[in-house]
Amino acid sequence: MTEMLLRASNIAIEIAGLELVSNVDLEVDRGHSLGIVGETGSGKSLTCRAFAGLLSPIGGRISSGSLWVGRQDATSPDTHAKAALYGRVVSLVPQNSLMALNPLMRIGTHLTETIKALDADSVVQLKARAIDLLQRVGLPDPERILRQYPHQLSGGMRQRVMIALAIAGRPELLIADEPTTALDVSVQKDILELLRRLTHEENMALILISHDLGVVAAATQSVAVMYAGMVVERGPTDTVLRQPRHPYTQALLKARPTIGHTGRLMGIPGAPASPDTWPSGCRFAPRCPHADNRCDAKVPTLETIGGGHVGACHRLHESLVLDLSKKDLLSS
Amino acid sequence: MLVVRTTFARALQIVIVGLFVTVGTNLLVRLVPGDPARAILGEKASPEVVRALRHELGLDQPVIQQIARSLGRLVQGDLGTSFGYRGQEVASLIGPGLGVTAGLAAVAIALSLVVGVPGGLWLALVRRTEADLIGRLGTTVLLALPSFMAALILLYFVSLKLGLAPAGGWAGSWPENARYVWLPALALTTYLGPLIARTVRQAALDAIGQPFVEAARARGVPRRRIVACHVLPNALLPVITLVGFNAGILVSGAVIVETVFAVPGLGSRLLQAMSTRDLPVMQGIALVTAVSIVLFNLLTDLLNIAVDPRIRRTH
Amino acid sequence: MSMKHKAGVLLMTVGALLTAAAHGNASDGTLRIGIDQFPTNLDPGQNPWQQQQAIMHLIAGTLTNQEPDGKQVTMGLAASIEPGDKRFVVKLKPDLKFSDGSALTATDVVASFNYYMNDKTNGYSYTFTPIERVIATDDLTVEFELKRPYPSLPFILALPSSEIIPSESIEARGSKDLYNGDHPLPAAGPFQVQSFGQDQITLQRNSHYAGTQPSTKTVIFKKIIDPAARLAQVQGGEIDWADGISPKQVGQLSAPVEVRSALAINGLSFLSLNNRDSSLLSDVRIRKAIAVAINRKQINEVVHAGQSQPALSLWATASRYSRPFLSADPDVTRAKELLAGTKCENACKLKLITSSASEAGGDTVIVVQQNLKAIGIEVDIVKAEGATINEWLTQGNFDLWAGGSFDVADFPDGYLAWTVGQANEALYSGYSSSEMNRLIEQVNMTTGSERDAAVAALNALFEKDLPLVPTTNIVSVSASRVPSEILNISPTMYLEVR
Ligand SMILES: Nc1ncnc2c1ncn2[C@@H]1O[C@H](COP(=O)(O)OP(=O)(O)O)[C@@H](O)[C@H]1O
Ligand SMILES: [Mg+2]
Repeated sequence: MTEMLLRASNIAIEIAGLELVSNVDLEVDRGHSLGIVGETGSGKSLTCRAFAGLLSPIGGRISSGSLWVGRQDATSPDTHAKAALYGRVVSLVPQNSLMALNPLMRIGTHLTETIKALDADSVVQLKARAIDLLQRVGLPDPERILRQYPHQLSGGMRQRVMIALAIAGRPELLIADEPTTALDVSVQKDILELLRRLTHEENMALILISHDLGVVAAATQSVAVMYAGMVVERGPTDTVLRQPRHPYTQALLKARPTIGHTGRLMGIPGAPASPDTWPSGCRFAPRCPHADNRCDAKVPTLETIGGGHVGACHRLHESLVLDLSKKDLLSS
Repeated sequence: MLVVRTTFARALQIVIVGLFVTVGTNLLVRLVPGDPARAILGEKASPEVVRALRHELGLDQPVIQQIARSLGRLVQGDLGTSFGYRGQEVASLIGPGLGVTAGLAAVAIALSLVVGVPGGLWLALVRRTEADLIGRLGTTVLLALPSFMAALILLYFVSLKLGLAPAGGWAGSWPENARYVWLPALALTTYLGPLIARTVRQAALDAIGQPFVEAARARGVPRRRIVACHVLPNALLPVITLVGFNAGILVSGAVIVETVFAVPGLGSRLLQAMSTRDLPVMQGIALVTAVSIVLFNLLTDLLNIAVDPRIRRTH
Repeated sequence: MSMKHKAGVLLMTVGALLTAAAHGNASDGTLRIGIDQFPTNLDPGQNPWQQQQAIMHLIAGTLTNQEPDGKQVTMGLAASIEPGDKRFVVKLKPDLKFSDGSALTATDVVASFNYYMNDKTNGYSYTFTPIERVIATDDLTVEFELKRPYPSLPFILALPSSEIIPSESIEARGSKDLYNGDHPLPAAGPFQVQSFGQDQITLQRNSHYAGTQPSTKTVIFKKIIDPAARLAQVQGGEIDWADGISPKQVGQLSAPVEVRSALAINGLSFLSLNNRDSSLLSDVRIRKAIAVAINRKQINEVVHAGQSQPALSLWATASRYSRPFLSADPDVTRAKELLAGTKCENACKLKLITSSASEAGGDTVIVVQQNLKAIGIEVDIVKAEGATINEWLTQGNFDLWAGGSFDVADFPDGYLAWTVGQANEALYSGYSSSEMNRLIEQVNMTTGSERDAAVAALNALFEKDLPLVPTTNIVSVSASRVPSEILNISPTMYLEVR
């Protein structure tokens, strides 16, 4: 039977009094992999920061809802307990990880300081463990890499080092925030392959964040789609990608091939809503081709579609079947 | 390779600086009025005597010839002989002063680092609090304070009122000089210390905002280690360059502070040489100072190469 | 406690510990004197400035000794001096020795004077011009043959520039200066040189000194250029005597530091007037008007904090030649009367120069500017560095100069030459009077009532021509933490060390 590793119920995230993420409901079981997709600014990173316990450094907090990581309540202010969680139970490969290595520090030092901080058992054989970690993430000639500085490595290698650092504490849940963004296409594949292999070998759960549905499709069992700080659709990856029920997911799928550098979905007209001007009703309504009066009046809640597939749309049951050939579907 | 190239570039700079300083001081001193012979002999000496001394000092020769002669000597590493201390080698006259000034500057730099680096780091860690505000205000005030004012204030309070230090002077040998050096060094520190503190604060804030600090924190690296191993080294990089750039200001500050505390460094040599129009000594001091600054810059170059792995690659 | 705070406390503690290791002072027979100018070598002819002279005075063994009052000399190395019109016969004391223990005989005296008289670059050559030659008739007898009567010779023989030095040292003098710190020159004064540096000169009691041994064993001169730094150090106990402090700082002294001051026996602060035809001041009426308009009391108060005295004649107030004719207070009405019919009757403009290094000069010019404004003369103050001022004076590029001149004792020769004579370019006011030159010669060559008459005539001519305007006496103000019986400054402007 599966064991729950992380459960977020209805959490909202606030920074400086502004609610940036609302009503997020997510679960990850041991060994499971979850993808989170959405446009830039939809709250993916904030959500995983919340999961990794990294809200407070940016002045954020979980303002409502509950978050359980392992068997612990992660919203409690017990920092000691948290310290035991993060890195060991949950570990994050941060977004923008190509700049997440100290330029003045050798790769070896990065690894050893992390091992010292997270893995008390390995302190006696620091170097062996560091080499082992590098091997696990598929880096050749680890001895040499230990002596090198970050700028001497390629982007893909640095991403692998970041993953090695993230798994140093033998976490049960690995969160990778846009791990393939800014990498060459061929390297992207390798990294995804690595993540898949690692989670498999180490029986780790994975949360993979991306604005690219394709990335998520290739590597996760279930997926959550976020829009404007809310989860709008969630379900088994296959189901959600084949039968998207939320107009936003449908738009995402349609727009996929034209993703630009910024992660903005070029195919969806209109600008994403911004946190200080959330619409009072459905946040996607202003851009949604199917919006009606209900949508402007009331925020839709997640409703079950079946088979673990849920969606938040007033017209969820009206079977607004996606017709990818019908061009005007997404025009407003 | 980079080290060789940097060293070579600075060596070239020394040659050029030497040429300019020699020609420059020669011309400059002759442009301003005042006769070295008269300065030596006093106002009561008769004109014939003054003329005789001018001849003996070679001052009655054409300027071009005098410049050529001092350049010729310089090539052989000879700074010439003093007018005032007749027959004495300039090098032997200013050597001890150079040592004293270098010692004072070194202690001042050390003090500034000791105060400025932890201070700046601390201000960065308590950013946007009252302590930070007060600290920044303090550095602004100190930076606006001229060196001689700082020197006089320290002299008055620390030395005369509290009796914590001698009111100036110099022992002449280490470590006995320690008694005398710390107050003038502190006066110089009132400038360089806050400058370093501000630089470190800003650089530390930049570093703290960098993804790698955040990432280290996320990995569970202890706060102390993040500050010491991630923030501090990155915050120190600009300090090396800063201190290098301020070598000149430090020397001119030292000249003033030395006067207030009667420290027998290059400053007092220079003052005396100027008042007596001791051209060879003035020239020697200008040259030695300029060359020291270039050497100091070379040192900071090399230090930068040593600490920043990125420079080693990009060049 | 912040890191910064901790560092501060640490520094204070280190400082306190270091200071606790106190060191020697006057009670062990050592005097530490802060002074702003050092001799650059031990050649008696190359150190003319007052502070240099003060140090040389302690080292030099001379045939006569200057009494501190500046009025007379006593026998030094000489046992007796028999004066004459064209010949002085000097008998030396027996068994004289230099500081290195070698004998000092008539040979050394002759060699010394020959050296000085033949050195073309000797700054004191003017003191030797009346001397024809110096010869030894036996080991203990020296004869000075003179070109003309030279009654001031006994004073001249007491000058450090007439120091007796070993003939061997003079012979051994090569192209390099022999008299520098590396080879201390043996001497016969009360103190001998122990070390001679650019920042510190240490003197030790000379056990071979022919006169009374001073009680002070060691005198350490420290070069401290800045007056405020000297003052701080004497107050802080780093030195025992701060030479030449600003009179205005006297109020800052606190026990045990006391003020010591002396008025020069010979010499004055004055406004040197440019008598050249190019200057407005070639008109004697304007010169007199200025002399009358100057407020000497005010200058004494403002510039010297009342430590000096108004100067009312060509001579220092204490000089035997003084005959006051000026007033300490200004007389604007009289001054305006004097200006009537001159180019300055309505208004005129004068360039007043002073050395930027001289605080006294800087204060004087402000008072003068104010005083002269009252009689319609506008004064343009121009400050420049000492060497530049010298150049301007030589070229006549000024109207007024806030300056002065002094000599170490009350003999007229040098002082007259520099003030009203035409002796040298650097102090030259452009005043040229054959009558004055004749009177100067008379004063210099006569003694007794004859000299008195000549001085009276000279004073009268000075009053009539007024080539310069006396302002105040010359005062030297120092700060000391030792009793004046041990160390003091005298009207000679020498430091008297007992
Ligand atoms: N440190 C922060 N302070 C204030 N607002 C933030 C901060 N980080 C993110 N936000 C805001 O929160 C929203 C969600 O951001 P983020 O979680 O980074 O989006 P995503 O990762 O999906 O691109 C955005 O509107 C962004 O502007
Ligand atoms: Mg993001």
